[in-house]
Amino acid sequence: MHIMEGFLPHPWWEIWFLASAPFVIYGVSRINQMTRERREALPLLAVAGAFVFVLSSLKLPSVTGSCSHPTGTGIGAILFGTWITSVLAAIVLIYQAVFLAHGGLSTLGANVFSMGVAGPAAAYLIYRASSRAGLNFYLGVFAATAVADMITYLVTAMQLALAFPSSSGSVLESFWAFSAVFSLTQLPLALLEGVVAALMFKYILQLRGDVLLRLNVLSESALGRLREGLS
Amino acid sequence: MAVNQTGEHSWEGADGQAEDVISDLTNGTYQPWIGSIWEPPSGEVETLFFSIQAAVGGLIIGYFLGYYRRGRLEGAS
Repeated sequence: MHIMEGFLPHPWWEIWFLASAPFVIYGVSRINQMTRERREALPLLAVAGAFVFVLSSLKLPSVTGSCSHPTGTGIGAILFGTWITSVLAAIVLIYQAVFLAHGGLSTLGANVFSMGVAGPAAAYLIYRASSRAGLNFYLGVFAATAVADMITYLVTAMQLALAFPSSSGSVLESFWAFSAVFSLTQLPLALLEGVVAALMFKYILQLRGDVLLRLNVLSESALGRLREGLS
Repeated sequence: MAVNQTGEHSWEGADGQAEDVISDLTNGTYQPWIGSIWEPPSGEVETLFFSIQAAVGGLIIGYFLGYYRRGRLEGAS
């Protein structure tokens, strides 16, 4: 659920542009740095970006009788962190705003913040916490991705609630109204996205576990254990 | 809201439902202050652009995973 064009009044659309701009700007410089210093990881960057492209184009029917789409940002966040993922999300959101009238240019800042900053930041933190706690790698990927998906939509609901408090002036009340629209719709999609991300990481691990090591996604001992499990 | 139990589903996008909530909260007074710069002229054209998005993404994923796979096979031989 992206916020549609024109659906965020002044001053909210400016505020969300200001909030997400630093992430995208710093993300671009991180990508530049990566193209110079870590060329071996560039194919993975392309895959992470393409993953956002594919998943956010799939409008899936859900249990509530309405459709929504996954975000696909979890993989990018786990591999490259929040900064770079915010750039990937911005590219997809601009494409959808210009060619599909899905989301909008005035609401781009808010949409980049929910899909490119809040969701990926949650994914990154959850993945790091789970790997530090020694949890199973695939379980960590699954949880991080699924939660990132839900957080994206909860932040969208919060953004709408801040801009449109209920008639009694309560932001919380309208937050419930907005989150009721999609939280149940989104839950099965979030779980599905988590499973797809875990499978994707299994394949990446088989192909180029060494790149995961160099990106600090996995420690050497964790990589060794996982490789034993695969062979 | 939650789960529709009538057996009748419209399978519409959740975005549209959010617009309905905005309309409820503002008693229908809120008008978008700016419209989309371009809208797909029909559902078919919209589907076209969604398909292009998915196809480009799928191609890139396949190409680079294939690139990695080939590198690994050559490294092994």
